[in-house]
Amino acid sequence: MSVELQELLSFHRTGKNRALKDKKEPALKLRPALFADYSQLSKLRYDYPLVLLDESRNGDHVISLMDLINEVLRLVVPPGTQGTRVRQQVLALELKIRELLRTVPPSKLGELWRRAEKDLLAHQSDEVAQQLQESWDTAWAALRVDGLVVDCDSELPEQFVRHFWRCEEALRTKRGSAKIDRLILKLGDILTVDELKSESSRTPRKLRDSLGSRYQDAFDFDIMAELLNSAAAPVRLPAQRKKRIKAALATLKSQHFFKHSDTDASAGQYGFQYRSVSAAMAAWYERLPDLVALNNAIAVAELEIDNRYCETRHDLYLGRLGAHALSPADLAFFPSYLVSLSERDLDSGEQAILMDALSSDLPLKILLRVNDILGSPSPVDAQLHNGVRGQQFAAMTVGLNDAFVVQGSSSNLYHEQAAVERGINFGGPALFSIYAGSCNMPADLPVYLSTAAAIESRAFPAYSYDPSAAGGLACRYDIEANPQLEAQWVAHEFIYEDEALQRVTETLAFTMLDFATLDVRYADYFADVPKDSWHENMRPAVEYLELAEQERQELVPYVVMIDDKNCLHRLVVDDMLIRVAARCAQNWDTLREFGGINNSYAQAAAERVSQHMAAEKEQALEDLRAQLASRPGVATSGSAPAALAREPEQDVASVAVETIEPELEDADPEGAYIETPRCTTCDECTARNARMFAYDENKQAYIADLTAGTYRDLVEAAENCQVAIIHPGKPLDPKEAGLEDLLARAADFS
Amino acid sequence: MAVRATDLLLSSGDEEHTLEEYEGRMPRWCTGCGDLAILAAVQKLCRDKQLNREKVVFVSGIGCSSRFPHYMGTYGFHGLHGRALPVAEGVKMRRPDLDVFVNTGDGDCCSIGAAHWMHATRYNMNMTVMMHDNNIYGLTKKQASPTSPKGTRSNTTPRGSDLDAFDPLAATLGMSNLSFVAQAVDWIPELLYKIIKQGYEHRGFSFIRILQRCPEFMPNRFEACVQDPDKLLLLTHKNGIELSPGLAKVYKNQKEHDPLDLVGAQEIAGTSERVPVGILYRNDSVPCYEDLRQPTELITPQLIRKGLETELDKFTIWPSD
Ligand SMILES: Cc1ncc(C[n+]2csc(CCOP(=O)(O)OP(=O)(O)O)c2C)c(N)n1
Ligand code: SF4
Ligand code: SF4
Ligand SMILES: [Mg+2]
Repeated sequence: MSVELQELLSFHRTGKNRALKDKKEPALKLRPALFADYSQLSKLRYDYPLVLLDESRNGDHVISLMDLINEVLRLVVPPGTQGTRVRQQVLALELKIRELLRTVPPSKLGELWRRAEKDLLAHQSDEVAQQLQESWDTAWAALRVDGLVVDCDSELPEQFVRHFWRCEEALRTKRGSAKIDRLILKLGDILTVDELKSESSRTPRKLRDSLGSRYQDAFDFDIMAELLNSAAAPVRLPAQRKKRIKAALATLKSQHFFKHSDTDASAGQYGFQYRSVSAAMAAWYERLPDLVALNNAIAVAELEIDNRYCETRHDLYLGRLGAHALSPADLAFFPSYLVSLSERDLDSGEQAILMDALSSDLPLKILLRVNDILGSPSPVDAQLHNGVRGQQFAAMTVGLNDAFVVQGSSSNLYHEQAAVERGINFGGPALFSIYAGSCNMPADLPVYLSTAAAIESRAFPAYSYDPSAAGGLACRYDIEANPQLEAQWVAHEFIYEDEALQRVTETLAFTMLDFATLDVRYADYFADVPKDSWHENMRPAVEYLELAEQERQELVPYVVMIDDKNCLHRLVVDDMLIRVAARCAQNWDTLREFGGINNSYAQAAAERVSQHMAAEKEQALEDLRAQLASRPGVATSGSAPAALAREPEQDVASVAVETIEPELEDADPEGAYIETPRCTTCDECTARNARMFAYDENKQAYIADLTAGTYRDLVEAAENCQVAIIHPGKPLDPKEAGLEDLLARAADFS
Repeated sequence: MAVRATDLLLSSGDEEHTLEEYEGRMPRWCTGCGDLAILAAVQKLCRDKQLNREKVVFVSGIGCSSRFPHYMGTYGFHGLHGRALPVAEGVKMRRPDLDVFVNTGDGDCCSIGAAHWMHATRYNMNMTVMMHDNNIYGLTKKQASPTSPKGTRSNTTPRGSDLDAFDPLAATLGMSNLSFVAQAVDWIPELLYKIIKQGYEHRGFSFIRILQRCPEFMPNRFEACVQDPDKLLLLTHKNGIELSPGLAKVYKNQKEHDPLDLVGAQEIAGTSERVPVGILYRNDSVPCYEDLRQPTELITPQLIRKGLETELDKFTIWPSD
């Protein structure tokens, strides 16, 4: 083994090759090679910044500046070369807004737009300025939206989730307020009508006032009052009912959960935003009695308005309906609580409360800003370190199986907005665990890149988990927001020039190791190998990771990085990190299995089924061959002739089920009867003899009592039944007068 | 779907409504009048659907058939001749939570109220309209109506009416924004019930023409149809009416007709050979006017007062100084 290789191996295995480390040039700023294209982010058009819309549009609460501008360009700029100038002018303005974002305080799109216009016009001639202004005015007129513009920075998770929470809560509050206002109005109507029935509402004066001034002289209100009051006393509301309605009304009017239309918007209204779980829980429990009372008042009001309140039944229920009876659907009516947390600030006590909260039914929406995914390297050398610290909250919460979970990063919140919205509307707790960048990353590395790297490298995969989704685990997990789902590691094409200035295209994977190169705490776990020491036993880390332990002998894994001058470097990786990367890959595999990709159980089951089917088929063929062989004159060959391999056709005749028409039960030919289902309720027979003929529960006639009339009654009814469905049968009394004639007439209806 | 615990607790054990609860006053129709059969079918429907009596309104115009609301144990509005539909529309617009039924006669609907019928069809508000067609003005003791067959001798046409009968089915099938048209006969209770039920279940304006016997003034009008099942053509379809085996045996003339097929429906209505019975047309995707015009804010007395005052202020002449 060469000296160089020994050196490389020794660093890889022990992380302690001083000689190699000392060769590192500390001044060189290395970045993962795949970052090469992103050195000037603000010059690129990509899905950030976002506009948090003041007014949601078609259900969308947010739109990226790029999408918005594209939309406007589509609307107002002619396609092709005709529109090139205007398109470029609008795009220049977009670029300016991106630049401004980094220098001005948080602003709305409108302000930024005007500011950018001003800056860009500063040094233009009047003529050019006029042209530019025209283009921008047209574009602005087509925009029709405004809202705070936010960039992908460490504040974004909070701004984004809070914005969504506010938008969704505004809808919920609107629904809630409308419902409560309606109930108040309707209950009020019931009381008003009752009041109008009272004697005090019928005094001559009240009657006069109710008419208006114009025709007051035309009536004698004294007599009118006398007349009204001398009539039978109107039915009034029972005292108990009135009391109940008034109590419900009082509760509805004094509630603090929703805005009232007739009072000052915010007076006494509860707030629902918190910075600690314990404070949110405390508020929840403090308000719980109010919530239960309001919930019951709504139930009473709805029943009263529908006139369905039944004291014997409902008094009992409502007396007992406490907090324990609240279902998620009841709670879904009430506002949810937003708690913003930073994982850094969670002490163990607050962590325990958080887990408690997430396993409850309470509508707590918890935003957890994650700042450290890998965790600090262990101070003890070679101590196993799992590198998935940042994922633990989301993973633990999924384990509780009660809460909605969204894991993501600042960079892909825009793509996970549907999940965020569902989490907020989920009828229970939700955790939004969002990686917001870390202070362990180089200060000049844009948060967009570091947080995107977290997702791309599988160090912090994006997913959501909806415990209420029907249809099994794969339906509960949604992992679609990750790039290249089918692949173990994300790979991209990488183009560079070699020493002979020839273009080389290579596929580079972006692994958790590349992500670790960004973290200053892990600098010592990589060693930059000078180009002249590159060895043929060096292997790209992804390839190395694929190898079995014995195949790795004498091989050294490396990652590719570039420096400020865009020169390529190879960094040997400490074995401890290789183990962490393997662990990370396993995590990703597990997540993919949960999400329905490469599900090992399904694959094994499918394999079993296909083996079983193959065996059955083989057996069937075997049987056929045997049958054929036993027939004289048929030669057996390797495979059965096609016609014989077919399933024997089923004998249709033997399986056909006789369709039996349901016959009416044979009526007693001697007895009288009516074909009741055909009766048209014409009253003819019932008017003739109401004891003999009666209506059943469907108001159709039957013979109720044959002895309640004569045979003559029966025969005459039969004759008069327009649909001829009365059959008189034989007479009960053989001595009835005129029987002979009656029997002859009855024959028509036998 | 998630259910509120309070709903579950409070609705469990709701008492079952019997058919009698939907009965109002004693009907004063002639014995043998087909209106009685329609009344029974409707009361049965209310019972089967367990409708809350306070949530149901029957609106009618004037005529024998228009006495219907009196005989129901629900809310009702016995209106003006020909004006049942505008009243029903007003009720539905303001109280979309109520089930609205309309009972109207051939005179009420096709004569004096014809314009309302056309527009109500177009508005497509969710209500069930039963047009009791006895081919005559019954209440006023026998005057020819638009649907009276040519030659009908009546108080207004003593020498027999001169025109061919107006066809309400063909007419309604040509109206705009149609969503449900059916024809029933009062003397086949099973079909009558099924058709009214489908009309009720359809969300939109369900127009059901019911051939109704008036033994008093048109005693023989439908006699042949009642006696001879061959005179009817039963429209069947898995999305329309399916016949019980008993009925299928008696009524041999059946035609499979998809209620979505408007042209087919028009053809059926246009052929006078046999009387079609069943669902001619049903389209569930036509929007209801009351949904399109839902108020965005709660209509409170204050709001109404404010609106009125704004309107009236337009006519106020303010002193110049
Ligand atoms: C404005 C007006 N015109 C005429 C009448 C008289 N009128 C009362 S009922 C009726 C016809 C009723 O016929 P129809 O609608 O077919 O009902 P039926 O009695 O046959 O059920 C007429 C013309 C009236 N009540 N009001
Ligand atoms: S006469 Fe016939 S149709 Fe009329 S109620 Fe009696 S059985 Fe029914
Ligand atoms: S006159 Fe005719 S429609 Fe009127 S109640 Fe009598 S039978 Fe019925
Ligand atoms: Mg009539």
